[in-house]
Amino acid sequence: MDRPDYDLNTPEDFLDNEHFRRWVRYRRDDDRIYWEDFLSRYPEKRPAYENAVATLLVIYGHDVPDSDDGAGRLRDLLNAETRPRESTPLWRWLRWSAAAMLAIGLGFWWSRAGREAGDVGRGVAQMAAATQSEWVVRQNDAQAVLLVNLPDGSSVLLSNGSRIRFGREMNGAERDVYLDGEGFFEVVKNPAKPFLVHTDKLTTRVLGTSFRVKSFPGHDEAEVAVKTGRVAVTTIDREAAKPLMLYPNQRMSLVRKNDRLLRAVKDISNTDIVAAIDAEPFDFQFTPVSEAFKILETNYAVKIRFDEEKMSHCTVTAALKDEPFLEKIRLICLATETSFVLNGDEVTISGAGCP
Amino acid sequence: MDWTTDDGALWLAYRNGDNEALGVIVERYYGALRRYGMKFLVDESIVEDCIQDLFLDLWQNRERISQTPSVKFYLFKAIRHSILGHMRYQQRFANEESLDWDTSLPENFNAESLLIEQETLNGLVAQMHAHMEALPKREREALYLRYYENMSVADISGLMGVNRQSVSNFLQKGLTRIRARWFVTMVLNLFFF
Repeated sequence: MDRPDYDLNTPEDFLDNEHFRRWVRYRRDDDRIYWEDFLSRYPEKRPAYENAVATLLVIYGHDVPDSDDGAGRLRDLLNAETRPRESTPLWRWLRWSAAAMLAIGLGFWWSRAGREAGDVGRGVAQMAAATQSEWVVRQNDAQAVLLVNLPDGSSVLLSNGSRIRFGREMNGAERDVYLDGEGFFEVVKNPAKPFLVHTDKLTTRVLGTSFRVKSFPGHDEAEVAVKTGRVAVTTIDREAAKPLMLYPNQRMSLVRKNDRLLRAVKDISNTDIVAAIDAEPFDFQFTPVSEAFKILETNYAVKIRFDEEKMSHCTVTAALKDEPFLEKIRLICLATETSFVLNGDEVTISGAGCP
Repeated sequence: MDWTTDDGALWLAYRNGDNEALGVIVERYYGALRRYGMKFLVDESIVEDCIQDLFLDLWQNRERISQTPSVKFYLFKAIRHSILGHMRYQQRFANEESLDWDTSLPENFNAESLLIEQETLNGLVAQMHAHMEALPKREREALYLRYYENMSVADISGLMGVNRQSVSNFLQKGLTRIRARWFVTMVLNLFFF
């Protein structure tokens, strides 16, 4: 059991605190908020905190680079083991021909891969094999939309039948996420670290904005629609070509015909709106906080718990059009002098209320 | 059967012949096992071979494997055993003491992301690293298992084949050095701030 935070005094206290260890190891944004607050509340504990961080880094030691898909190869090996062992001559022959086809296929793939130098795997399915403990995969099979908060603070509303994969820490030079299906993204602005959404047919690159990407594996069409900001799209058949820039209220659709990807760009009309959030302005002008929370609840499919009575006098005035979900909540809390705790898809707001 | 299923259920399913369940366990622990194995300063390809053999053996012997209270403990113990076995094979004579432990530092740690000034953290890490290098290898391994892999003292003692008291001693000795360091910082703070 972790001790309460005011009880953390020596570096050992910190080391024995699981919450602290998780923070140093994964550096998640929700933990960051907690420890920032902790250090500002107890500045006298900073030396102990710094010592404990240094100790953990030394204990953790050198970071091993990821294996190139060792887990995936091992899974394949295991799968092969389940096949029946006794083989009839016909089966043996089939096996050889399958091997030959595989070799030819591999050769073909090799030449393709060579042509598309620097090609990275696309979509969740192909890349799932490379899954390390450092990757997080979220899938939505159950509900209409699922809110996923990314480590950098960005949010994704994942449509039904879709899944997404991302690094647990997102500490690379770029913020890469892999999407199978459809998601609405609100990305934290960070010009130093581009945010890339990879799918099986196209890659969308942004610095901080909100947009929708749809590309189900096996389907012949895909699309990108921009709500705010600017995004750059490259399709996998023309990787080297200049990316296509899309601006607010523009939509690019992609259709695969005879193995070619045809692009079309048009302005978004009302009939193209997939979900309310694509058009919701999140523009609050002296809006009662309960109303603001209701708008967030319906758009993000989350439950927000707060004391209706205490907060009945609180209002919000803010334009939160393309802030990620957690950022919206944080800003509303800042304005109403409250704090929040996130637990799964439930947010609990607490505070004294407004006069 | 997916990445949210807990270890115990996956293990049971695998023992009942579910290949996919063992696959999920592979995905879940491959990275951690590889990281742990490479801490012994054996070649990457050897570690990967050991992990591969471990899982293929698990699959072939599924009918004889029993339920375990901790899948993670089971896998870590097995991989440690097989790396030690590999060294015995290579050197003819090898014991616990010939097992090495990597103490190299992370190449670059981003201090700002941990809410500390880079210079401060660089200094602290260098000092701590010097203390840690003086520790016996097995104590460093115990610290890693406790604070990186979140293992209990009981699991660490089972894993390293030493009694609980020695694990506690390992951890304590490691931390004593930190305490000495901590004391100096505190005194400095008293004087200068």
